[in-house]
Amino acid sequence: MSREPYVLGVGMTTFGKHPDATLGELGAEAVRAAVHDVGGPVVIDEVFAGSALGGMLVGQRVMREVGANGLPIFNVENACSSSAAALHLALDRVRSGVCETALVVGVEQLTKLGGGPLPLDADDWEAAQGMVMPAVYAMRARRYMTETGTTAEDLAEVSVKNHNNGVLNPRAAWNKTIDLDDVAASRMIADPFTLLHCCPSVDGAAAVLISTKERAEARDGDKVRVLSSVVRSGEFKNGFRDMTRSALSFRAIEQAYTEAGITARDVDVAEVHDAFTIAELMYYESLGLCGRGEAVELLRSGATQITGSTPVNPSGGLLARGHPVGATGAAQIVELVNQLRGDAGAVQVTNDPEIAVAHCTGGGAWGFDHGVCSIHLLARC
Amino acid sequence: MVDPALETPDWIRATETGAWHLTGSQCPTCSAAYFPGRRHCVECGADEETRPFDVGGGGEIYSWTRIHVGAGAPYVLAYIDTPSGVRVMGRMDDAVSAQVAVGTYVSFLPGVADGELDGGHRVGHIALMEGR
Repeated sequence: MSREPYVLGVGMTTFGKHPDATLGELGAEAVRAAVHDVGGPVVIDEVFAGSALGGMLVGQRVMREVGANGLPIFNVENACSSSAAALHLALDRVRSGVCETALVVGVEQLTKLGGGPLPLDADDWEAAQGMVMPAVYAMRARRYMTETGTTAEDLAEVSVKNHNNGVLNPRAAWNKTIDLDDVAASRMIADPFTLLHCCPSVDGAAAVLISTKERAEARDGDKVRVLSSVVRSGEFKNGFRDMTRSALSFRAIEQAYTEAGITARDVDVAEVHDAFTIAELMYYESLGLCGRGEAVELLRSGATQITGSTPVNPSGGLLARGHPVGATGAAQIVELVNQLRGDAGAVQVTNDPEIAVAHCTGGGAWGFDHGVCSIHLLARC
Repeated sequence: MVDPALETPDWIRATETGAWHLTGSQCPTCSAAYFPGRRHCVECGADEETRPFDVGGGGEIYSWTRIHVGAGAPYVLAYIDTPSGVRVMGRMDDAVSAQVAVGTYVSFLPGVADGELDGGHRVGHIALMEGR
């Protein structure tokens, strides 16, 4: 019998530098916060742990620190979508009735890797040319600018919005109000991107407990149901590809909307994968929030601000919350569940949201527009 | 001029006119072209192995960026759309970058690593030069 999966509890660490914690301790802090959020005893049946660079047995190292050993644990690597993919699997286990309550934890400790762009596979053809992740998005940006007349200052508006959202978010790594001049004055990374066009590599963990309707109803307050969960991978292509348009995101989002029986107009709040400023504009288009080439106009209208009609990245997004790669997918869910419950504090959106979308990608291998895209649609009920 | 000491890999070769061409592969069944070459076609999944394919000596810049972080920075990366329908990533030294733009035609050259390990003769990447 198929059961509708609900979010039972959520929790996360602050994102930033956590040099004194082990990876396991960091993950455990998020798990304890999620259990605490439930407000009563929780029996976890299975664990799905997402991490891209955390090494072997991440889930075991986390669960050791919370004293819950011997459970079935599945460790999932899918680049930036690692914990979003872990969530997808956990939802299936609850939906199919295999387990009652599943724990999803995403954890990453990037500051221990020495900073700078993420390490890529040394055998990757494009990495051998000197490719780094900022370069891919910088080339998307330049082409997008060439085709649509968008300027570097337009892109910087995304940075200003998200960093200033992040200032209001106690979980975000960023804590300083900025303006367009600050974005332009930060050091050049891969033109047209200065540093403030790029998400910081940080440490952090986030956890989500998925369970049945019956369990979720035992908790006071609004319930959050998962309407759809989609994980798709990129299509290898060696020929010409439109880099200004995330074909993979379009595909994944279309599938998620169809499965949930909704359209873009029903979306009240979104967390999208703004690893670089251009990405948020591209994903406005992928999500159907605006048409081709209309993203800058949508941004400038204020619609995607915290107080707008469709807020995007009220948490500060990857740009300001920070991007502990494998933890990002779960962190988006934490932020959106807080929004749907009305528990988001200073970053609470003002449109009384009922439906939220989490969009997470993952890249770093040549021949794909992105390696992976994960979509989760959540509803307050 | 071809440096006789240059160890050129099988994906780049000097033509009789002195130009450098990239060698990829092409599926004998569906004609899909690849660079770098691959043994089997992933478009049609044919059992028959691919054959060597001349990708050509250059193409137009689809997009580019100048990278200021990491080993070897600053340098320019660009995606080049070749007339053969294959998109190739190549690399420019910084001095050239001032003249590049989307749509500029660039030629391929063997890109030699800085030479710390092998005396500077091992071709590791595709270098790009403005013009034909």
